[in-house]
Amino acid sequence: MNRGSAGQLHQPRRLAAGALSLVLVISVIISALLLSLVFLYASSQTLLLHYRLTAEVQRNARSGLAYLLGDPAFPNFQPVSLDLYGQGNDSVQLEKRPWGLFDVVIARASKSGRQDTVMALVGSHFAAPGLAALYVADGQKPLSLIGTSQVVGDCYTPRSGIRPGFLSTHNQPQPKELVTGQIRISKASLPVRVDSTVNCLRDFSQGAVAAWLPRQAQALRTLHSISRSFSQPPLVWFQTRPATIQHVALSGPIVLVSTHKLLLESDARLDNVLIIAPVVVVKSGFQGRIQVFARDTIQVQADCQLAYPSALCAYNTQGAATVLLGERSQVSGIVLAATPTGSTAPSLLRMHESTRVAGQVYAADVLENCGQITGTVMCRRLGYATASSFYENYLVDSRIERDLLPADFLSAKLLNPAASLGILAWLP
Amino acid sequence: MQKRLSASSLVEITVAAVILVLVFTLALTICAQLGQHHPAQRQLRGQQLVQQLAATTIRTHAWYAKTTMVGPITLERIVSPYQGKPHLLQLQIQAMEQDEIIAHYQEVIYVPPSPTP
Repeated sequence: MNRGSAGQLHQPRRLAAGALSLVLVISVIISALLLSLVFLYASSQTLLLHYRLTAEVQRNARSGLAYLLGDPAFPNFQPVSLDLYGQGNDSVQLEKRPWGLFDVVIARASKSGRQDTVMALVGSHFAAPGLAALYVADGQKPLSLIGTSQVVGDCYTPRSGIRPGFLSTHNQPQPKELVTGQIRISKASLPVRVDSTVNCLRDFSQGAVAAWLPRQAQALRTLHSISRSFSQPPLVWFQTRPATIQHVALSGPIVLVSTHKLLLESDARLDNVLIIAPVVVVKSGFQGRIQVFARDTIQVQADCQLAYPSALCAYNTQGAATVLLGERSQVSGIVLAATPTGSTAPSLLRMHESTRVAGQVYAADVLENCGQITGTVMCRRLGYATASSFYENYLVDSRIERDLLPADFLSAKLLNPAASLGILAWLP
Repeated sequence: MQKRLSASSLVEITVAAVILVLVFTLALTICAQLGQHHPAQRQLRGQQLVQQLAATTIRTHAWYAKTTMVGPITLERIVSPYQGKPHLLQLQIQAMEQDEIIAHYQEVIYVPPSPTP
């Protein structure tokens, strides 16, 4: 025992074997920490650069859109490359083309390998007459409001004024407050020139489709469900016989053209699609977002819902132009019926009292049985028709409410030529 | 016969733990210091400030030049007509710290005329 103890005392002191592994572990941890610091520094720099460049490219694309909005004379179908700030760093390619009553604008920005594209549908703010709820051209006869009728907003009436009216078929008390806003005297003609409107719309006839489509437009042989980006050229489906659109979902720059009657069944799903035909019938229960241009007649049957921005335009330089809106149907956008001044076959826009329109209603001649309007109405004459009688400038159980239309609700340049442009909707 | 390493003693484990805690504390302190004074962080803060000011300018239609201070950062806003077009403005905002530009923002803005009844 004693010898062993003495031997241990004389041996040199040694560190425990676990110390080496301890040192190694601590070294590895310190190295990992240092490496992570280096990695953190590098990645934060990269991320910041990526974030900054992405934000700049997005801003440049937005700036391109602003440029297109600020330059109404920007040419159609001609892509223009623009150096935004003259320093050679911020380039953006701009393109504009008509899409029905509106314009499609495309801005493509690129910088240091990064790209961003924004596309939008451009409309117009309301010009002065469109800020009023109702404009009825001065045709001598006074404006008579009956039943629950009321004009919420300013009103342009004939020189003979506005008054509560009476119909033997309506036993309701006479309305008390006819107009909530200012009453002004209208002129004999509508503030928007009908002829120029019709001339513009004539371009939408089937023979002139090519005039407002880009050269790259492609023909669509058979109709099948398609979802297409507006960055691609439009597809044109052309028919020379009566046709029915059904069992399809179409979305994007697609034009349906027919030289004969065209029926839209309720099971067709159309989004931002243009329809051009002499007669277009939208069947009961249809829902979608469409712009319809018909030479003779547009008939929207009951319980249809046309979402913003939709447009129904009937125009005719030869005969009558008629738009018929059925019971409980709702249209958000523009409804227009027009024939040239002095035409022997006047235009007619006929509604049902349960029809609802949000937006701008323009009847170059007669607006019959005006329904419930959130927006603005412009017509030469109002009419109320029963089975046996026609009452001129009668507004029966109709509310026209301009103030309820949102401030950012936009219409078409065609009806508001003096107004500024704005983004109507972003496009996919 | 294979030699065996002896197990670590309680003292060794304690010393190792103390060293680890010290190293971690030191590393975290360095990280925090770097986070505060790192150029990337300053630039990011500058970017956030210029974007906030741009959003406020566009929302409130404040189309005039202005210089503001946010802590040590100076924000300078310049608004000028764009290429002589009547409804286009060029909005420029710079964030500066100690006479160094840490963030820059510029955009073309469309300002439509307000409708008159």
